[in-house]
Formats: sequence, C-alpha cells, structure tokens
Amino acid sequence: MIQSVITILYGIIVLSYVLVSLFIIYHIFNYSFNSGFKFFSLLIFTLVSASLLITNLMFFWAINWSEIFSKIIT
Amino acid sequence: MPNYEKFHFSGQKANEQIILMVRRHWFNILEQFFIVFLMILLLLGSWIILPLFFPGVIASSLNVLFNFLRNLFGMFVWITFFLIWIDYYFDVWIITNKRVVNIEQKGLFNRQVSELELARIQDITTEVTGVIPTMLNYGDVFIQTAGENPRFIFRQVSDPYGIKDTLMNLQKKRNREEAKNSRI
Repeated sequence: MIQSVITILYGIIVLSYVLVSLFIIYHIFNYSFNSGFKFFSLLIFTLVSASLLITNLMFFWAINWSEIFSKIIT
Repeated sequence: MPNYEKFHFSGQKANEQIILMVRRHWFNILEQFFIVFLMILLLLGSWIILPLFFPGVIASSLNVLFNFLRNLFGMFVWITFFLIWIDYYFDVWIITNKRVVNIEQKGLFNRQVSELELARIQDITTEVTGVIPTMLNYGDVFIQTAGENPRFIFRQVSDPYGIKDTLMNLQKKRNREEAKNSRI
C-alpha cells in the first residue's frame, strides 16, 4: 500500500520534471537569438537532464521500500 | 561595439540591423544564483558530512535511499538554475537601427514584447542610485515617448550612460537622414 503511494507520488514528480524540461527546451528552441548558442544550450540541457532522470529512476527502482519501512517502524 | 550579425529575433524586419542587445546587470541576477550556489554546496556537503557523522548509513541499504534523495535534489537544482537563467537570458532590450524592442520574460509562462519607434523618442533619462550600482555602473534608462505608453524603461541595465548615448546617436542619425530625404 505505502509502496503504491510512493510510486504515485514519484510519478507526479517525474512527470512535473519532464514537463518543465520540455517547456525549457521549447523556450530555448523558439526564443534564442543566436543559433550556435541555441544548439549548445539545448545539447547541454538535454544531456544533463536526461542523465539525471535516468539515474534517478535507477535509484528509485533499486530501493527496497518494504525493508526501509520495516526498519523505520521497528 | 559588439557584433550582432549572427543574432536574430522573432519579428525582426527586413533591413533591420541590431545595434545593441541589453540585459539586466549580472549583479541583479546574482542574488537568485546565490540560492542555487547554496543548494549545490548543500548537495556537495551531504557527500562529505553524511559519512562522517553517520558511517553506518553508507554500508546499509539506506545508502541507496540517500543517493536517490541526493539525485532528486540535484534534479531540482538543475531545473531551478535553468529557470533563473531563462528569466535572465530572454529578458532583453534590443536596440536596432529602426526601433527599440523590449522582450520581458517572467518565468516560463509570461512573455511580453513591446516596441518603440526611434522617431517617437522625446527624451532619455538615466538613473543610477546606490553604492553598488554606482561602482558597477548599472541602473535604469527612461525613455519619454509621444505614444500611448509614455515611458519605456530599461531596468537595472549595464552601462546606462552608454545606452543613452547610443540611442541619442541613432536618433540624430535618423533625423539627419530624414532632413536629407525631405530636401530631395
């Protein structure tokens, strides 16, 4: 039960992160004044954001939530 | 004079040449970036302090949880950094050979674009107030106009006196060209 709640909450966080990232990409893509700088910033932002998200998902699925909660309760 | 040949903004007219692009002074944004800097310090500090005070955590299964939380915090810092940067980088005043364009970016969902023809400029005033603005040479430039929007303001910009001179020179040049054309 607790694990499902955590997964839903985490899903909301991930979705918010992806949405904000997409809006940032949209702004950089549409409103940049210099094409060289546009592609450089898009590259940096996309690479770092995606790496952070992938590692975070890996960490999340590696956590043994039931073990952690049993430790907290006892 | 910086070269803006490779720069382009939406709504730029044919034969319109960018003379100057002005952003808020870096000191104005420093306060917000300082918060991000503190967050990064906190993040780095957690790697050093946590093993020192809680050595048992590193060896236990809780270590994965702490790594997850650190990473989540890192994601938050990264997004916050870019949100501040977008607010700064896309909030710009563009002086061209025809007009002044003010692009006001407030966060991700509020963007206002206003423009002023050079011909409508009546008077330009600069205002530098305070110790730090005086030392770092930044302040406001007020443009008095004849239009519906009587005041056009460049807020907290670098070198307000230089901007005023640029605008005055452009206006003089424009007036000379107009006088020359009317004689022909």
